[in-house]
Amino acid sequence: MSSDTRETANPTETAVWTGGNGQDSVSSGAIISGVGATSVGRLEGENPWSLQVAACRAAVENAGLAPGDIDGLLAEPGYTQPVVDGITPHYLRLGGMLGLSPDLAGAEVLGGASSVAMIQRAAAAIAAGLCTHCLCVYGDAPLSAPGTFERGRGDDATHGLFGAVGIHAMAARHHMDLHGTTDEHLYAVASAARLHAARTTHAQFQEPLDLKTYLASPYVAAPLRKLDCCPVSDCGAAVVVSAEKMCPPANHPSARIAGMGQAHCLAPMIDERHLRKLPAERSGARAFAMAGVTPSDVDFCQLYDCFTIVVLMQLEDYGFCAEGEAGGFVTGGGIAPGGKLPVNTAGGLLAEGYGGGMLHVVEAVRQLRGDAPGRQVEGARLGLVSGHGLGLNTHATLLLEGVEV
Amino acid sequence: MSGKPPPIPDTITDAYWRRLGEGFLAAPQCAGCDRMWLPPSPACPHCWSTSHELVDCSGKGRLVTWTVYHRSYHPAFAESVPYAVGLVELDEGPRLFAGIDTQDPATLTSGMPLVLFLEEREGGFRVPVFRPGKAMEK
Repeated sequence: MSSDTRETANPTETAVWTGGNGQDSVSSGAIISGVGATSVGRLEGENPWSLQVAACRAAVENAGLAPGDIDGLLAEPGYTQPVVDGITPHYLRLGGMLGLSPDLAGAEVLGGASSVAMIQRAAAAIAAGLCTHCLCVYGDAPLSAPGTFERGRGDDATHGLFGAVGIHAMAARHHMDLHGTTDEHLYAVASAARLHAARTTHAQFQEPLDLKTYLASPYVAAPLRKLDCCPVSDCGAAVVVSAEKMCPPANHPSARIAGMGQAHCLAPMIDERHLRKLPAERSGARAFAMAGVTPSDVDFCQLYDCFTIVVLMQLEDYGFCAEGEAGGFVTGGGIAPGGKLPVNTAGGLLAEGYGGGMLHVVEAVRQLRGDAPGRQVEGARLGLVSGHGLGLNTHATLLLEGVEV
Repeated sequence: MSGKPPPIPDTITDAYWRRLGEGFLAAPQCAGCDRMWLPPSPACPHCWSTSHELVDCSGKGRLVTWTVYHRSYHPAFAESVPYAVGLVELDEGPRLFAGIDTQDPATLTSGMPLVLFLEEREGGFRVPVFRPGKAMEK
C-alpha cells in the first residue's frame, strides 16, 4: 500500500505513525523472520537461562541468520527472575551469554503483554533505523521455583488478595452480573483450548475436557475454577524481528507486522471501566487503524488466555462480537477448530502451556507460513495476537499478515 | 491476632495506615477539584494538584464486584476459606479492595450496601473489612 492510496482511501490515517526508513508505514518495514521455542511443560534439568538461550538459537536458525547478524536484544525474564538483579539487568547477563554487542538492548516489564510489546519495540526501532535483526525472547522455568505466581502484590495480601487469579475472578463475576455469562461459557473457552491442543503435538494438555469434569474442578477464586487457570510451565520462546529488505532469501514465507497498538490502565482505582473492560479496546482500535483492516478481516486469533474470562472479554473489546455477547460467540465451537474464529490454534496458555505470550506469536507465524501441520487454519492470511498483563492493567496487540520473503 | 500479613506502609501510605490504626478509614481530598481518591498518592490523580488532606470517610459503600477464595495462599488465611474479597466503592467516591466478611458468600450481590469495620493485624495495624448492611456497628 503506497502512501498515496492510503491518504486517498482514508485521510484520517495520515496521523498514523510512519517509519523513518523512507517507507510508508511500519507494515512495510518489519517482519518476523524467525521463530523458535523449546518444549513446554516440566523440563527437568532446565533453567530460565538455558531455555532462553535455546529459544534464541532456534529463532535465529529459523530466520536463516547467524548469531553475528543479530544487532538487537529485547528480553522478558519471566516471573522467577528479577528484571534487574542487584545492579545487573537481565538482558545484560543474557546478552553476555549470547556473546552479543547489539545496537539495541532492553527489557519489557508489562507482565503478560511483554512479549507482544517487545516485538512492537523492535519493529519501531527497525523502522527508525536503529537496528536490523532484533531478537525478542521470553524464557522461564517456574516449575523449578514454585510459589512465585502466588504472591500478593503490596498491600493486597493483607486483604487476602493473592495472585492474578483473584482479580480476574472479580472481572469474571462482573461479566456474569452484567451480561449473564455462565459457567458453561467459561467452559467453552477451556474446552476449545483443549480441542486445539489435541492437534498440537507439543501441547502440555491434549486431553479433551467435558463439562462434567470442568464443573467438578475445584474453585480457586470463584467463579474461576482450577480449569479456568492456565498452567505453570517451563518454556523458552523467541522470535527475530527483521527489516524486510535486509532478510536473506529464505526457504519459507514469513509474517509482516501490519498493525500494532498498546493501551494500559495504570490507575485502576479511579477508572470505572476497570474489571469491566480491558485496555484491549483502545489497543485494538489503534492496531486495526494502522493495518487498515477490521475485525471481520481476521482469520484467526492468538489471545492471551491466562484465565478463560480474559478470552471472553477480548472477543468483545476487540469487536469480534458486541459487548455482553462473547458467551454466545464461544458456545457451539465458535472459537474451536473449524469455528467461525479459531482462537489459540495451538491451545494457548490454557492448554499448549505457559509461554509468556511469546508462544502465541510463534503459533501465529506458523499459521501464516502454512506451517502448522494437523491444525492449519485454511487460508490463514491475517492473524491477531494479544498480550495482557498484570492485574488487567496492560495490553498489547499485533496484527500479522502472511508474506512471501 | 490472626497472623494475617500486615500492610507494608511506605512514605506515601503511612498517614493512611496510621489513621486506620486510630480507627478511621480516611482518603485524600483534593483542594483543587474536591474529589477524593484511594490509594493515597502525592498528587490528585484527577487534576494533579498537590494540595490535599486526609478526610475521614463515612465507612459506607457498595460492592462493585467480588471473588470468593476457596484456596489459601497464606497459612493465616487457611481457616478463613472460603472467604470473599471485593472491590468496594465508598459513598464518598474512592474505590478500594477489601475483605468482605460474610457467613454466606452466596448472598453477596453487586451493588449491595456495605459498612466498614476494622480487623487487627500485627504491629498495631487495622485493615478495612466490609460487611453487608447499612448501619455502622459499634
